[in-house]
Amino acid sequence: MIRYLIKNNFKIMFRSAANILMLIVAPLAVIAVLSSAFSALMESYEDVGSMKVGYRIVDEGLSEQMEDGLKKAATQQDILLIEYTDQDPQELVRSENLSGFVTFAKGSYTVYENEDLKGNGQALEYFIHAVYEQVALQNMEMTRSLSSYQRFPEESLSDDSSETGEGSDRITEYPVNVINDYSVVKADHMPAVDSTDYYGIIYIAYFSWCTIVCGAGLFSAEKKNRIGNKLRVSGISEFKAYLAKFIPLVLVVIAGMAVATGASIVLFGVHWGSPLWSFLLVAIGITAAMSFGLMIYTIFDNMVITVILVFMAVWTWGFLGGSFETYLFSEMSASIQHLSPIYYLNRSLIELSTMGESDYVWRSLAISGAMTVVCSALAVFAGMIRKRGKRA
Amino acid sequence: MRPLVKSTMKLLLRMKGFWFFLLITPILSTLVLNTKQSNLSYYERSNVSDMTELERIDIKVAYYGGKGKYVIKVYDAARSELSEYLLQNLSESGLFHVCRVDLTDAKILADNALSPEDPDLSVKLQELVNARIEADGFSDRMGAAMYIYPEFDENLIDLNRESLKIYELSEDSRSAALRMELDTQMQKLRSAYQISHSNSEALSYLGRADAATPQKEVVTFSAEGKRNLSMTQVDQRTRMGYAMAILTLGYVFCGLFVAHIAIHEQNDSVYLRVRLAGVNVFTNFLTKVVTVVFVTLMVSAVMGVCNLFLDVESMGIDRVHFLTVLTLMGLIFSTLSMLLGMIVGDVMSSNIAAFTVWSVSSVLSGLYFPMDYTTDTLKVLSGLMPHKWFLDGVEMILLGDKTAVPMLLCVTVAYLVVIGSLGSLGLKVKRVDEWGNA
Repeated sequence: MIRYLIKNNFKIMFRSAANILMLIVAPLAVIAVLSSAFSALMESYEDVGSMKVGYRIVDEGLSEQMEDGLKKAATQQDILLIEYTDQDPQELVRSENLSGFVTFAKGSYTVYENEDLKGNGQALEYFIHAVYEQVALQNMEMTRSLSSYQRFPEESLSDDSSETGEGSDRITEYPVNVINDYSVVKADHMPAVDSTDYYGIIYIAYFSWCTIVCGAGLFSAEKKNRIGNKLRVSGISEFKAYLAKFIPLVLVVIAGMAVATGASIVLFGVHWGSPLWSFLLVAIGITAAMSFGLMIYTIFDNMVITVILVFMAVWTWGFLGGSFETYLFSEMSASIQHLSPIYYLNRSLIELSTMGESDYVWRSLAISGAMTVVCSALAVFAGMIRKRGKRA
Repeated sequence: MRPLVKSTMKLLLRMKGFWFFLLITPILSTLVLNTKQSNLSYYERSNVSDMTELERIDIKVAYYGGKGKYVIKVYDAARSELSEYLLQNLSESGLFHVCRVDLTDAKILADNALSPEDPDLSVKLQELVNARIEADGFSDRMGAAMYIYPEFDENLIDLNRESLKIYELSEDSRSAALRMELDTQMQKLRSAYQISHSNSEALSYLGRADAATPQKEVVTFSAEGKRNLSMTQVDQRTRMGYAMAILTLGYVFCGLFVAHIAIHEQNDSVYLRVRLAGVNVFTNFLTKVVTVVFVTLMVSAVMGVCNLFLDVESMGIDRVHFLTVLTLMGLIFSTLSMLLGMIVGDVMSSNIAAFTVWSVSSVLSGLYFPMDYTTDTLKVLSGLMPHKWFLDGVEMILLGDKTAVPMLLCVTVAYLVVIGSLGSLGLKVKRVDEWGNA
């Protein structure tokens, strides 16, 4: 009996294939928008490479000796300095395709940075700053050498490879470089995730929580044909009637999300972590989402209210769990983030993608699993009450 | 026409969902607008060039790297003049953005159950910083973290002891530049101390040396023109964006409920009876539009009442402008959702369609985050979203631009004309007898 119902429900769902199609198209559209909108914010630094920089000396703002020194230092840093005597610096940057421009005046210098060439301006600004700082340091060193009192013997300035400071389990200390009187340690961290991978993964997870709409066709057909009353007469248990809806819905959504995931990998190059764990996490998430949706539907017996309530709940969980603003950037306190089941799912999927492992995998599976059991039980219970009410 | 509007309004007022959106969305928007928290505009943090003081140890710094700067989160347990000099010079170098947590601040210490009088403070601070850096590595994003020891000044002149420690938290190649800059700055500090023999003298010497170094000026320019909002105004605009997003949901669903009534009337052959009573199709359609206008005004009126609990100064916009902006925006969205619902012709699908319109428009128009750094295609798409223009209008009002309201009026009329034209075309294409287009 239940096998026949499941088969029949599959057929009914595919009659309103538009909803299923929307669940494949919608994540792809949102992934395209958000990965693009946040690309600049989430991209990792890349070396700017060689730069072509214009400069102008105003009122002998740079001595010949300093100019030569600057050019030599620039060559070492793969920066080509080209002198321009007239024209507006901003115009020159645009027309000559320069990475930036510097004007040297007496007692000051001006760095022109094109915001559209992110990284170039900063590299140029830092280069000039570093040159002047080195000059200032050399002058000070000269003054210090000339002074008769030398408080620090030179040998104490040599490299010291000793390390101090208390270690921690996740901070692996090794002497990257120990210079003067500070040490550098490499601490454990999650490798940077770019916006394509983040939103490419997150929105598969997010939309898998909104999939109760796939059941719209099924539920309206049930109502229209009074299937509920017929099932009551047939004596099928409430649990079996629940499974007859739950199983096809979950399977259809898993298939739909698999298609969306495949398309996101092909179209955007999204990198997922361990395929098996990622699949399991999303699949169990779908069972939790579906049981939650079915629970709401059974309680209210109205698809419109169900969609509004489920969408609002998922939006809130997504908001807390990093579906819109990344959980890495969000100022939300950890205790509030932990209230969202989507947070555990998001975090485990992202950590699997970037590190290949995550402490959140089991937590996410446990929470989604618990939600599935509790919501299913409540849905069956609510169905039983409704059945009794109708009999009375 | 009046009896038809009256009957539609009566049906609307019987809907629980209508009351829910009529009352709840303005209240939620008011709560968002009433938020006292500043620096809501995390996305704009990348524009800040000075060293940032963090009020809590757990504040995230990821956004400060938005313009590509190498972000250093500094846990400063010394907070001396020398450590201040070091950090200022780092942040003025142009490559780094320094965010400092002052670990000598009594409030920050108290927040972390520490006391300045604690004899083991140094050990406990190191433990606190280590624990914090573990979290930073997995739930924040930065180039490196830095711990400045409480004994920074003493250790700076005693080369056998560390003054500070760098924790690299990225694979960023600029970490080498950070080490180089630290070498230079600390060597400067030491040389100045060797020349002058005291901290205060050293600082004064460094001040004179820095004054002799050419002063830097940075001019940034972009091909695109942007409005210059202060950080407070950016906060106000951000709050306004969130409030507009929530309130739009109210307008969209209130318009949709009018569509629900129209769909039910269509299914129950009410239109046929209305036509038999001598009311033409256009008048019938017009009653729904008039109802939508009433509904929009009702949502705005509730918002107006809620608005009385708001401080106008903190909002940055006076009440008249505020309600005008929202009402005009509401007119567009409620009309759009009503027409969309009528075209779809099915309650369930119209709900999903309206929700999709709301989600897409809110995201693409930049209510949640700016679209400044996105692709040109998305910028064009953003320009098609009504919210984008209303957010622009809010910016103009914040800057005292008097052309904002006329601009928004033009935008509203333009959108209503487009929605009306496309809507009537859609209804025609649908060729449903009851709409009179068969």
